[in-house]
Amino acid sequence: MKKNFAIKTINTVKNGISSAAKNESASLLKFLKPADCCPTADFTALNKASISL
Amino acid sequence: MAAALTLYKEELARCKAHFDQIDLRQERGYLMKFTTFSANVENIMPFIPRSEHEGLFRQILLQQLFTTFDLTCLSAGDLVDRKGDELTSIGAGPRIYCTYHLGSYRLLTSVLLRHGVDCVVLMGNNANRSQGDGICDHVESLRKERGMASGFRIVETGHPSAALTVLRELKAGKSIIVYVDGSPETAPEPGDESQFLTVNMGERQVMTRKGVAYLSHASGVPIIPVVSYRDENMTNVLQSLDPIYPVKHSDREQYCQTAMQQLYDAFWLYLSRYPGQWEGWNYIHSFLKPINAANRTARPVIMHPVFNAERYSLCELEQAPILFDRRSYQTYEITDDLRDLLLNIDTVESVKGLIGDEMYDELVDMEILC
Repeated sequence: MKKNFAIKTINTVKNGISSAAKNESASLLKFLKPADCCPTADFTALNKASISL
Repeated sequence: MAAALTLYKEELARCKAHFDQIDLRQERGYLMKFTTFSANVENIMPFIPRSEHEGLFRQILLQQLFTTFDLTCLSAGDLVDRKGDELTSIGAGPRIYCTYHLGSYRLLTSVLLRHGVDCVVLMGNNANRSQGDGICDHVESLRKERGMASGFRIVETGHPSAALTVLRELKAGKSIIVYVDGSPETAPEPGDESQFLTVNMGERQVMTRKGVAYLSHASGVPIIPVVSYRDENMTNVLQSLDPIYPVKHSDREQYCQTAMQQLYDAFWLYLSRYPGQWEGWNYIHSFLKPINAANRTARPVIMHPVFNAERYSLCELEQAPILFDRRSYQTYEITDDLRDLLLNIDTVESVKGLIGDEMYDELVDMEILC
């Protein structure tokens, strides 16, 4: 089968990655909330609205 | 206090232990986000080898986790080590506190409120939507549990009357907290040029909003640069630096330029020491001043073409192969066959023969092959 070599620009916004890239990379932050990143862990102190040690 | 410090550090250690279990490479969007981060570090701090970028990226994500924790933990504000004249003895009278997304950057607000300073925090509209509630909950907890009585409000920078509101608050004796290193939503857009000026930052120049310096000059209120960082013992440090005083009847534009450069120079010293604690690495490309591409007079003749991995990174976006230009931040969609060729180019006898003259010349002109 003949190989296909092609390249095309997918973002033209000055200084920016495409909105698709932004959306995809934004999902990386989903685990930055302790409650989300460690759902089964004993993180009672972290999950409270505010704690005072 | 010693017991609280021990408990606090234990919580952080537990946070880290759970974070360490996450395989970041398996997270959707990891490669794109990391590649953008890595290009930003390389363009501004080229002296940090690329081999250290992944470790730095992990540090930043962990730092963000700690920052989230500090916002929910009132004791975090009690345990801050305050340094510098403006923070060891917090005086009366309005100030414009200019800080950065370094370390646990929300603690400044908490510390100032605890010391009776009426604060107005300037935030982007989106940042307010995502973080505003957490900050307001923190302030409410301070009021209930610590009897804190300081005034607090958030002003959204996107609001048309934001500047006037802030000016009124300064004249009423309140202090302002501003994050001068921006946020993704405050990056320059076409038509915004008059609101920005250019400052040096490492190996590159960045566009920065000048509104804060303008407010300082218009109100006569000094700017206090403050950096936040977590030291080797996991202690949060807030360090105030030399104040910047506006000179009455001086040229406002000149003051804006000088003050903003001073703010970035002050920041640079701490960023160089704690590069793994700056959230701004994830979006600083939106503020970078573009560099002019060097004009190449003639296409070079390459005997043994190789993939230019110094300049380009191969990534995946929505499961399609893409090529990312680390210098210009341009993204290109490429076919699977071209990706395979770039990955295995050393096994191909004649690249030109395989892809044809036209495509070969294009790849050489773009410096994808070198």
